[in-house]
Amino acid sequence: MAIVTKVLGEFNGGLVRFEYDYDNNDLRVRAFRCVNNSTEAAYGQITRTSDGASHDLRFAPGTTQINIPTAPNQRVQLTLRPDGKLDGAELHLAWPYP
Amino acid sequence: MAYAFRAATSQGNASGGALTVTKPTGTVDDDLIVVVAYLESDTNTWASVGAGFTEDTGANIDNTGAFDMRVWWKKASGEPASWTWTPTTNNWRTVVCCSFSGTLGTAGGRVDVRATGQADGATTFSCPTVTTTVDNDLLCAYVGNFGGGAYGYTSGPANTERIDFGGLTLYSLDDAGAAGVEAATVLNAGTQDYAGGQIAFKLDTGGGGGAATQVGWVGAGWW
Repeated sequence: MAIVTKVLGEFNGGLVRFEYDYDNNDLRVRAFRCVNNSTEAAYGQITRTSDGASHDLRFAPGTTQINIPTAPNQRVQLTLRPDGKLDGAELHLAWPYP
Repeated sequence: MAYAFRAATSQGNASGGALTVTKPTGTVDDDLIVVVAYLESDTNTWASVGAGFTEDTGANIDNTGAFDMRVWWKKASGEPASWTWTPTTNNWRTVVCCSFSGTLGTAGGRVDVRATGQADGATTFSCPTVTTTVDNDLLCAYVGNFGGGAYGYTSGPANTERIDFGGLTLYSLDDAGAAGVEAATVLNAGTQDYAGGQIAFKLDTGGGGGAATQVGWVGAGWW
């Protein structure tokens, strides 16, 4: 078992980075993070495609790491495709953000 | 005044249909808005896109058998908070949107030049060389890869990553300086199937066409 980190998206040469960790044994997603080393806020929204339920957060500037909640009622039922892409949720990212 | 990056958004990176593309923060009238879309497969098309956007068909490029890449642009004017991009057939789609301050050129075509290419099973992708015809273009390099991997920068003029999302990226050089050859921008996302290109947008230099005229009062007449 190993935890693998994959970048979902980044802005401004990686100064703002959205990423997730998954276990390459059971393929469960363990955590989402936003690493915001910029002087502007960032925004992330994830929407479950099956029912439209969404969860969003604003990430303050200068934040080095924030774990996005992964409580049962906030799970988004992602699927890992054979080509390595996560499916099952729409993602919307923005930077800079008010 | 040269172009200057203002903000970026990304959306999708999943299988589905109509996609809401959010206007980048702080976008104001006269900004240049650039939208780049990745759509699977290479035979799929976009049934409808945001109102008023112009597709630069010369910037379209497919990775044969895998996905389609397209570029649209618009001079902002009373823009809504978002627009909608709808594929003809639901499939994997990813869209990125960037806005740039500066005024988009008004005469002789707003896209100066573009060049595209594709590669299969390559470790890097070279967005082809272009030769700009006017000074101070905004140069954008855009690339999609099938595996969705994030990019690193290898070399080339468009050296600032604006957005990298789900295997779709846009790098820019906001002021390309004097007209002339802009070398290839080379990006890497591991061994992938790639498609993309470089596209240059003209800056409005304020001229309305024709030579400048002078009017002055000399003696008893106008000259």
